[in-house]
Amino acid sequence: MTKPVLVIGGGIAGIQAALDLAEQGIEVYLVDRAPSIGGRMAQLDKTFPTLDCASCILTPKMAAVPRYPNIKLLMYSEVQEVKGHVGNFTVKVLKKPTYVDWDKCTGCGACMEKCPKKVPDEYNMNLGERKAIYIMFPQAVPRKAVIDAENCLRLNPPPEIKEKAKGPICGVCSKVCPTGAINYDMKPEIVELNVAAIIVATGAELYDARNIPEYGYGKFQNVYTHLEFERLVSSTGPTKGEIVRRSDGKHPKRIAWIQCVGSRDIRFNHYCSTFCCMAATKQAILAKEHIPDVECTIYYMDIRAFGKGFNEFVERAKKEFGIKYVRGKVVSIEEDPETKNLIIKYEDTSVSYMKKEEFDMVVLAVAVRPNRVTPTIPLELDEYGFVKLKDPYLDPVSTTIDGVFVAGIAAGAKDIPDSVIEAGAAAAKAALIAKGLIASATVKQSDESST
Amino acid sequence: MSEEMEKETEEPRIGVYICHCGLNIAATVDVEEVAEYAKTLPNVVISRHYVFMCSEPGQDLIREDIKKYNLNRVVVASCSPSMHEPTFRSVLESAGLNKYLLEMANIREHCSWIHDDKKAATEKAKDLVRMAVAKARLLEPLEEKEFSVKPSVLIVGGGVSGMRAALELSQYGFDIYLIDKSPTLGGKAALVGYVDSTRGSEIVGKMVKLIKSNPKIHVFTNSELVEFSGFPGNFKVKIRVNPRYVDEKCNLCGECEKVCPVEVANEYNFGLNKRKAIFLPFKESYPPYYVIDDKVCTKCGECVKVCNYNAINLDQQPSTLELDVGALIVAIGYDPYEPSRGEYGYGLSDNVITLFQLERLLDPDGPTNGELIINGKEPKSIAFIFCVGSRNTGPNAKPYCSRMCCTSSLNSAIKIKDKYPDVDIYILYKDIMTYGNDERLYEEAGKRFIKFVKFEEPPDVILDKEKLFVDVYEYTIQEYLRIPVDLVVLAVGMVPRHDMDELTAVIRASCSGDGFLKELHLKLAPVDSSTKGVFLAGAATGPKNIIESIKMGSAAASKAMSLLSKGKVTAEPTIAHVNEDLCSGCGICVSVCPYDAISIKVVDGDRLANVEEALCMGCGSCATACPSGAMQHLGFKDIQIKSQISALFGGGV
Amino acid sequence: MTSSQTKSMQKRITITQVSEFLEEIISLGGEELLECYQCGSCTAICPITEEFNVSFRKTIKYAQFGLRERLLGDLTPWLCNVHGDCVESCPRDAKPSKILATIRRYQSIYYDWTGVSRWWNFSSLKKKLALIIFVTLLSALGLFVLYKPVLMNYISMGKFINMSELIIPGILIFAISSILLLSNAYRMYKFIGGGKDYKVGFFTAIKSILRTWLGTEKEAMKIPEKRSRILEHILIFIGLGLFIILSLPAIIYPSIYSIYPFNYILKVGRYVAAITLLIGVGSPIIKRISRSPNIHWYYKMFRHSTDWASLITVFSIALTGLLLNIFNDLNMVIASYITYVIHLGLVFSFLLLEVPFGKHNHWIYRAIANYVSARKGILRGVTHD
Repeated sequence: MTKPVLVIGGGIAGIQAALDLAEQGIEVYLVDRAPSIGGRMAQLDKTFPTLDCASCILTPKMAAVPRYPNIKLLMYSEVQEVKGHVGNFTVKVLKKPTYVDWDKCTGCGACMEKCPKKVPDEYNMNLGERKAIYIMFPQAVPRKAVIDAENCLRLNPPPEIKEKAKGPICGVCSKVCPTGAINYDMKPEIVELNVAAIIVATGAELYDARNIPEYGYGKFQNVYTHLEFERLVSSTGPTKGEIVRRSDGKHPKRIAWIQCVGSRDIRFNHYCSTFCCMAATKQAILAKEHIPDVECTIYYMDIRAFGKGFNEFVERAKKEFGIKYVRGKVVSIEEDPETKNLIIKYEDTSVSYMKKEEFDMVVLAVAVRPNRVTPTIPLELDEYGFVKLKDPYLDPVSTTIDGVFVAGIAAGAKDIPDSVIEAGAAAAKAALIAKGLIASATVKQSDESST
Repeated sequence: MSEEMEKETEEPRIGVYICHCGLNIAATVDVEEVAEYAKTLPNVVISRHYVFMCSEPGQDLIREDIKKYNLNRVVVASCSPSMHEPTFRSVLESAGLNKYLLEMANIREHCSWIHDDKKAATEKAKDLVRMAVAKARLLEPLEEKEFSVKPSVLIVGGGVSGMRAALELSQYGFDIYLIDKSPTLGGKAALVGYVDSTRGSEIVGKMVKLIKSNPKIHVFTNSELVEFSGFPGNFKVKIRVNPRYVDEKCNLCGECEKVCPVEVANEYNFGLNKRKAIFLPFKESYPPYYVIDDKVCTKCGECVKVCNYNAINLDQQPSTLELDVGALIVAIGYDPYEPSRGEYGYGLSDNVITLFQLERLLDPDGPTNGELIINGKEPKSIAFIFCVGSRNTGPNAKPYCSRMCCTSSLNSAIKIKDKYPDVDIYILYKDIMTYGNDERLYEEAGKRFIKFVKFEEPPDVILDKEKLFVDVYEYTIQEYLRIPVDLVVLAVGMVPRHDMDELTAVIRASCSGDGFLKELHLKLAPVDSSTKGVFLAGAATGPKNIIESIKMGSAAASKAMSLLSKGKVTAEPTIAHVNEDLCSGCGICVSVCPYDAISIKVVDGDRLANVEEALCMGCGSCATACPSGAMQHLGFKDIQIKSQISALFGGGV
Repeated sequence: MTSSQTKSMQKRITITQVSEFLEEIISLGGEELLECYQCGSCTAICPITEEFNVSFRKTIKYAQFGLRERLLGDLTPWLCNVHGDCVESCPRDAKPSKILATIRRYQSIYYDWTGVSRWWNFSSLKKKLALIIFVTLLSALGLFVLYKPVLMNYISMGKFINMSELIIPGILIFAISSILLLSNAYRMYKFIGGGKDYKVGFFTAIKSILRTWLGTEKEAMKIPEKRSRILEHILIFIGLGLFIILSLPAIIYPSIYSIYPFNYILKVGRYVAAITLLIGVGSPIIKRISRSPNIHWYYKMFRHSTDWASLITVFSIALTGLLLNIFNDLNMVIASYITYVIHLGLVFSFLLLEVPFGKHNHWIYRAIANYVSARKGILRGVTHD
């Protein structure tokens, strides 16, 4: 008797794990707190080292998910409670009210067009705006609308208006919806699941660069993080792929990438975030493709081009695209109050002098951090919140709780191929438990104490 | 005649469905107009438009119409087939129609999403629909074939990734055949490598213990894969089991070794010491008995004389094992880069060694029992040179980074400092690739007073009689340094196995530009090869450390399980098909097939192309290349394509 | 021949005796030396490198390799005013300021031709204090023995001894101290390449140095943590300076302090000097001893025995100076003489030990380093005359 598996997180790792399990005929519950699956990869423009379009390689996988009848998506939901043990976990999932009946919603987008309330768009790293009722992004799966209740005029009217109004206000979306899918009275729902195993694939967020005030992030308009730049350069982004400055909407002539912002740094995060050297190289190449005469410089301590095709990619960036690499950690950024240009200060260690350089735009390689994993699963986490493995060398996807596995950045900074491989490995183990072929993930040694 | 075949010979009765896709299509294309236009086309019985064809109500429309209007062909003009072709195919199937009688016209990605001019876009949509209708008329029902699978897997390569895959798959209840070319399991991890402070050999030891006691895993060492054929779920493999000449009666007493007259370089210590022709690879070899290297054995028979257990048989012959397996996992691993003689002084001085040799020296089970002694002396100063053989830092160097050498070298350097605190260590590097949590090793190295020298141009190793110097231009202080050292360790990288070509010839796999096995897609399918049913794991696809190899072994196991779990594999019928009357057996199709799915068979003296249906991926290359038109791509036959082209230009409707 | 080999035919340094070097450096406070991974943050953030085209990351790298020749020829560590921005920016917590202080000690050892600096920097605090006490007592005893009649005479008169009476030992000690200090300073000057490759004229150099130094310190005063350290330094400077200035007139015009109002000026001046010095030195001592977590990291970082010796010596001088004045004003004759003799003994040990061999030579080395760098055109904006 095959039992289901719960996958927490619908990014590339969660999607891959779900597909692998579903292929084996196992029922999968895929939970994500966002309205759509896709995760961080859906925010990327192109991927290194092949310059594949991220959406082009992700959306077929995303589209495959709903085609499996045994994958049940629980979107806009969060895991509230986990009890039990391997083979028999009872999970309570809180389905946040979307205020839109997804059985009726066709994703036509009419509601989004007419909604009067604009809100910073998290998918676009707050560089653009969305409405209070929105579909996360055009290729969203499921392609359904949700109402951000906190910002909805109807559900959460500002106090001064609420007083004056005689009844509920706005409600435009329900008026224009062709299928009558809007339901302002929707309540949160608790779904109880019984699963044999759990895969944690909760993914990443960026360390808050405002904790490192020397770089002026949050103060200086033309200082961006990698993810923000990624949205700028995407054709589905807030500027339709035009790399323009926040301050004056003009194309930058000189862009600098600053590596190791908050990584490899005892004061913030000891570890290396693994992919930022390659991401910066990729973004510099994309910038050159968008703006042919832009000058791109990457300020680094070590160029971590360790993966398949990475070193060749960096060589290509240098020779074919003329990207400059300067060894020296940028220590501070100042803003010219008139032009809003940025002056970076660093030591060029190849000549041993402090230098200042002016740039129109600066992109910070901010450290990656794991998303908060629901504390209801008492996993052992390291000091940064990454999930610790029980037996890193014999069993590199098992957590300290039997039957709970981890894949992707939740277990440590890594890139897309490594996340996909881990997802496969986690699915392999989870499938064995789901099918009742093994009772526990613990690798038993005959004459050794349990590892 | 089946109901479906009847439908084929009938006059086509086509239903056309234009999707609004919300506003995605409808905002740019006048869907009503297109639906009206479709009605005017010959053989179109019913034409509709609907807001979301893929939704339940949209699908119901098609189902009901098929019954009501007795439709035998369906055209859906909507988004890309990669989104919903399977969806609509299931709709046809549920209504009793062969699912391959569906044709889709992409009026979203190919039309509404890329044009602004409404009038032109609508005309184009009409063209696309007309083309689809023209083809639909000529569609034939196709049958998917199902093949049962063999519940067994062959794993080539008994290193950590192969062993891991074996352990996972065995728990599914499959029979696992784990073969290794060398006389023992364990691969390179048994000799070198760490995960944190755990030695690779400890990890190998644990895995071997689990494999030993697992009745589902059948281990064949000293064995090679020599033939491979068949199709996913049903591969036929032939394994040659080379003779060991020593069997399980061996008691590991070592008397044979003492009397053997032949001495050769010991590859299990990377050439640091010698072994005899009869030898035990390493302490925890599995199977745990001696083996004779017949490439150097003189068959003098001295060993037989002294063996008290009668374990040696010099007349043993190779045997062949023929198996039917459902899937193949290739985990053959890598070779360390071997510097050429004179490269950084390698081979000219005993005091220039590779990282692999260093790790053997530091291994308590190694040739010096873990003591760092070279020629009887303990080195007082050591220089590591990074990127040897990698990152284009030499005439024979590969262009890629070998990923694991920085971490391994720093690990070894710290271990040396643990044991010999007064030794001076210099790390000459280009970039330090301690990614992720390995950055802590770099931190630790600094705390141990290990010195780092950054170069852009590779250093020179100078041999001056007994003295050894490393000359380097230090990038960060712009000085030419000469570092006198007692030992130089070359941090060599990983290169593809020297016998890679032999294996790829047998399994018809391809390699990427760097010479390692090529995965189907670096991101989407990192453990699949381009051949369905053949999976890849470990360093065979590119440099990886132990943990990454283990994870990949698991992932490959997962994929193999997905393939075999249902007990059968289904082959898509939109594959190549040979009209044997027209085929002359020229063989052009064989040479263009990227999946090696075509072979030439001889039937009654006639040479004919033969398509292995389970292997064919339906790419169409062969059909395009076929000069006589004998090879046709089912579902995309010449006549079908030509009808679309004619329809586009307003001709033959 | 590879291009590296052709290049290596040019100037090349051979690394030698690294373990001896490392041992020395570590015992001088260089535990963090190799934790630096050469990112350059420290050199970039330093307010001094705004003005001077130098890189002390390079200096630290020289030290990492034990390149003594390069280190002794490097004036960069003496440009450091210990602002501490580098320590706060270092991603490895390698404490660049502390490493530079260590390097300064190392350089002092080798600039000194006598070998006393070597002993001074490597010995424990106890041994240093023992030597100070020894020299103090010896000087005190010596003074007492040599000047007994003069002292007895004044004691019987109930008057405090006129400073000018002790002019000979004063000048003698001062001269010995100066010869030792200046000879070492000259060696340092030569080591760092003074007198060679000068591109900027003397007066331009002096002007630009003063302007730069004032400018940098003024900027630093804006930051509260730095302000307190600078003020402490200023107080010490004023205190010691006053002591010196007050002593000088008595050499030229011996009886000046018997005349009104100079006697009052002397008395008040001495009180001011003593109290200023006590605060200036007492504050850092208290902060170093305190276990409160609110103390700035600077005080926890600079705790080498030479730092303590310097603070304790100056503190003792100030304390005895203050007591001396008090006893004098209270007409406690014996007490004042005993205190005076100890005070003088401490001053002599200060002049003979601390100034040429201990921390207090830093001001002259710094001045030389600034001067030489200005004349060599290392100051940004003043590269040629």
